[in-house]
Amino acid sequence: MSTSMLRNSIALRTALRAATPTATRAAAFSTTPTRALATLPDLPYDYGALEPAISGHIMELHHSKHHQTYVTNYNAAQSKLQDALSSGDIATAIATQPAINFNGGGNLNHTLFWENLAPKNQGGGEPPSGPLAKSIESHYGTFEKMKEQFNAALAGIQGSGWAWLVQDNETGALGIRTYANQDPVVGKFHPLLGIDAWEHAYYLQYENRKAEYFKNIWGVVNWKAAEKRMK
Amino acid sequence: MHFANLTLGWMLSLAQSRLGVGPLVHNKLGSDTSSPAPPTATSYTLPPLDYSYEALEPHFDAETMRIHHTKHHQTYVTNLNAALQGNEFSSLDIDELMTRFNDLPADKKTVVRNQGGGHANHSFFWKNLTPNATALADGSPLKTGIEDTFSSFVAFQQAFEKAATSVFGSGWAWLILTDTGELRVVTTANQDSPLMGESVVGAGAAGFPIMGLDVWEHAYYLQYRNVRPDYIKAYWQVVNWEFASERYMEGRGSMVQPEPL
Repeated sequence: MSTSMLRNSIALRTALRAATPTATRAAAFSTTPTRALATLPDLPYDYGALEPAISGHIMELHHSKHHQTYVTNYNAAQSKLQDALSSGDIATAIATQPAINFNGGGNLNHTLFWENLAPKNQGGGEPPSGPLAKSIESHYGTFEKMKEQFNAALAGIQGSGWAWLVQDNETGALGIRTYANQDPVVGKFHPLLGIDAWEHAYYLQYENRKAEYFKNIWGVVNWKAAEKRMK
Repeated sequence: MHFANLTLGWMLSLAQSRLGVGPLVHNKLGSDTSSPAPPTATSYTLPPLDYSYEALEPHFDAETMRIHHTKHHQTYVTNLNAALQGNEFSSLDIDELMTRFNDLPADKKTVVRNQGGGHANHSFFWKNLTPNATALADGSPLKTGIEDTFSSFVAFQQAFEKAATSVFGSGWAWLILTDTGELRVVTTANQDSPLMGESVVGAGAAGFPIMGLDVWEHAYYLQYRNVRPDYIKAYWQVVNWEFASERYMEGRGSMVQPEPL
């Protein structure tokens, strides 16, 4: 994760801020485990910059409230987990897993999301080029067909979740996958481009008209970020 | 405490006939032994609210109530009808459809879980709310049951609030009556209903809903934004404890005559 983020020069500063441990000690001489506290990354654009696709009000709430809460709660959960691991409290360590998954996933997903959106004057909405464009064509026929499948996946999400264009870590093949709640893209696949389908991502502007949101957001998708995530 | 040997389906049919909930069209399964009944255009219908959209203000805002009822719930009804058109299961009352979930053909389970669950849960929810909320009466069977189970009514409220807050993503918090007569605070994901049984909602969450709270973001976002706890607190101001008490008595298998007003 940190390697692919370092390759993204636009997000370099914010990525470093998010990943840098704020407290490190020589492990050999300290009983305090090192903790890399998550921090809320800055957006590379103003809250209002993605209008009219996504309102500034939503962007502000989404970033400063929802994402911030994932960061805060992830730090609390990982602190609890580290204490449990240090003291050998296996039951508590296991019981903390859902909170780690949910809040850590929420932090990862939203960090990637802000990066793969951009205002039009920063390339938002411009179709992909280079290897990613070729790969999309070979997997889906055309860019438009890929978007159709992506939107169908988004529409099919029940409850809260995300849809991602992913790449298979072994074969390099592209895929479109949906993940429930804040489950992150880990394991067999790594994420290229994600769209948040949680109601908080669109409700104040689109209410229940999520198909409209899914249609409009393509106008601010930052394909350059997705290209940089390709392996 | 002892219970007659009641099946959940019988209890629900009794509850529905007493309380007047369920779809307007009733067809008994198997009553037509000749060719299958022609598909009905609408087997399930959106139930009207017993109050206006603004009646629950300032706790639940009118705009949310209107969109929640006319858009979200209506969509579940529409999609359920589309999925079960011509299928014999569509003649079941919605709560019966939930309890018969495991009998559904495999290719219908997902859509009924989502759309049927949505219709069942929201139909219940509207009845669970009232603009004229009164406190649950001291000494009443449900209050006694809650106090016996949770040691105090406040402790029950705290347990319910904690459950409702802790749902990751979309879902519901419930007070249910299990088939062994136990009151329990549980949560379900998405539109899963406790009526669907353990194979769907997991061990311990299956049962007969007494009261419940929708914690999908669409239920509170316009008014409460990301602050779900404030929405949960507001819920206590609009809980229809009379309805919850009736549900409890139906579930327990006996009916107490309501006090004359």
